[in-house]
Amino acid sequence: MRGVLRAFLTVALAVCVLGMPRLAAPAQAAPGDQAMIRIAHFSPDASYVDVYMVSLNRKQLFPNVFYKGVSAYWKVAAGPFTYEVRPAGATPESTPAIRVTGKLDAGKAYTVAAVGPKAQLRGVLFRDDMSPSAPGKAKVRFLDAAIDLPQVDIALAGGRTLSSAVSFPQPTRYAQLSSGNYKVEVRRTGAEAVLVKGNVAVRQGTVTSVALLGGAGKPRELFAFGDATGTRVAPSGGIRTGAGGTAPSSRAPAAPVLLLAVAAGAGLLAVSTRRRVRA
Amino acid sequence: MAAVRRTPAPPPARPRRALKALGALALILALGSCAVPSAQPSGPGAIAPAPGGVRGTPRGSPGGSGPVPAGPRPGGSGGPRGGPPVSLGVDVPATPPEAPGFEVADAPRQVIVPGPASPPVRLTIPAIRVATPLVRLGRERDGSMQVPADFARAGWFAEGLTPGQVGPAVIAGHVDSKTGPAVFFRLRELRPGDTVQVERADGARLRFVVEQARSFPKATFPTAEVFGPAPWAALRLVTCGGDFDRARGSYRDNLVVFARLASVSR
Repeated sequence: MRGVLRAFLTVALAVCVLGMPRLAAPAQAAPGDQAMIRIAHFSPDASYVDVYMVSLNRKQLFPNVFYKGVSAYWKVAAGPFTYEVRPAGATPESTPAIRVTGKLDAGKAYTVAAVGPKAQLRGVLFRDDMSPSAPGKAKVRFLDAAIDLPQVDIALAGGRTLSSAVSFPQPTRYAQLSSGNYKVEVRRTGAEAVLVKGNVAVRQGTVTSVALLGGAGKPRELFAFGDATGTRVAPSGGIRTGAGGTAPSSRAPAAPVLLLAVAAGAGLLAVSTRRRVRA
Repeated sequence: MAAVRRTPAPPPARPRRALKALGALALILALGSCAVPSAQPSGPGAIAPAPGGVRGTPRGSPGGSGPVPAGPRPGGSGGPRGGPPVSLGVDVPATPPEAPGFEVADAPRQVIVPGPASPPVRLTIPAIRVATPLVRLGRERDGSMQVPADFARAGWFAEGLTPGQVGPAVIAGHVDSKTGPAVFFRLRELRPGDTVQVERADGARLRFVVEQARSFPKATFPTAEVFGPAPWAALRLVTCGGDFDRARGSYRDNLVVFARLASVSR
């Protein structure tokens, strides 16, 4: 019996030393192959439309999207996708008023928008930049989706030009602004007269898009919608959330190891008992 | 500007009329009053809050969603006009068409807690039996994030965003003390789809859903990914993981669980 006990202890020790488990691998989803997308309706006179979004993993129909409707982002599989717009209630077999195909990169964010008058609807797909703003700043960009405007310059009232020579239907780059309420003026490029003006309020850490909208019977205006919000001042580096009390080798082996050792010992016991019986 | 391409629509299919009419009728009956406009005209800057569900129930048969052919072609795109008459510009919502194989739902709306921000006071994660009051955390002198003094409690980074606002709210808790497991010891067990509940001082109860969990070496902690801009009301739960560096008295990695606000109740 002493031999059996010794064998048991040896095996148990071996298991504890050699088979020390590492911390279990954390939950690993595979979201790296997903992209974020949202839809926007900026055609002033197209009214209600049905939006079809087909990506690698989903076929979605959003009925009755209205002018100035901007959806939240959602995730779809990265890769090819198709965006189609039809008049509200039109059958999916009917010719779409807009059809855009494109490719979404993993981990990136996009807006796909319907722009232009209803007789010349078109779709535009653009990237949204969700990288952090400079410390203490906000990021703002503009999208010229207004009908019948010439090329324009966009400036803060009485000062800084944010974007020049902006034309339909391209988004500008993001500008960095301090927190505040700004009066924004839109002029024909190089001219003095203000074509459109409006207020844009931004807070530190936010990412905002402002669409220049209107025409075809709708008022010209600046329409702001949020892209994302980040932490105003983020802490630096990693976070010290552990003191090591459960780290391997600083404490008795974890329960599964003990169980394993007991099981191994029991097996050994059984084997040696049988041997003894035979002998 | 991403590459965008315009292609002609495929030729219209010839549906079997009777079957289609029947299907349409069934769909209309099934939809009932659910067919509401998906994106109402809203004021400047407004992002429609929709507490209690972003999307409708997916409907339609679970048809094959095959890959979409896409070819390279730069530049903007327009839509092919012509073909059957297209009557855009009608100012009334229509009954959604029958679209077999498609999920039919309102366009996703932002789920947020409307009104002023309010600090989170309690965190509950049923799947791993966590129920903890939340302490307030700031930054240390070296700029790093404070951690709770009490190993049994988690803490919220109060210099950042509040749960329920658009953007990342960050909650940290210890994986262990010097003697044994701490409040977030089982955080590593969380899986996508698990529920995380946060209660705020204003009484709002927020239900977040885990999207992913990832480990990062502290030496290259992805501050932008964890604290940087997020397009929805997000929550990040942070603890330690990986090997324990005895010389430094610190774990080498941080485990970060990313969750997204799914619904709000009072």
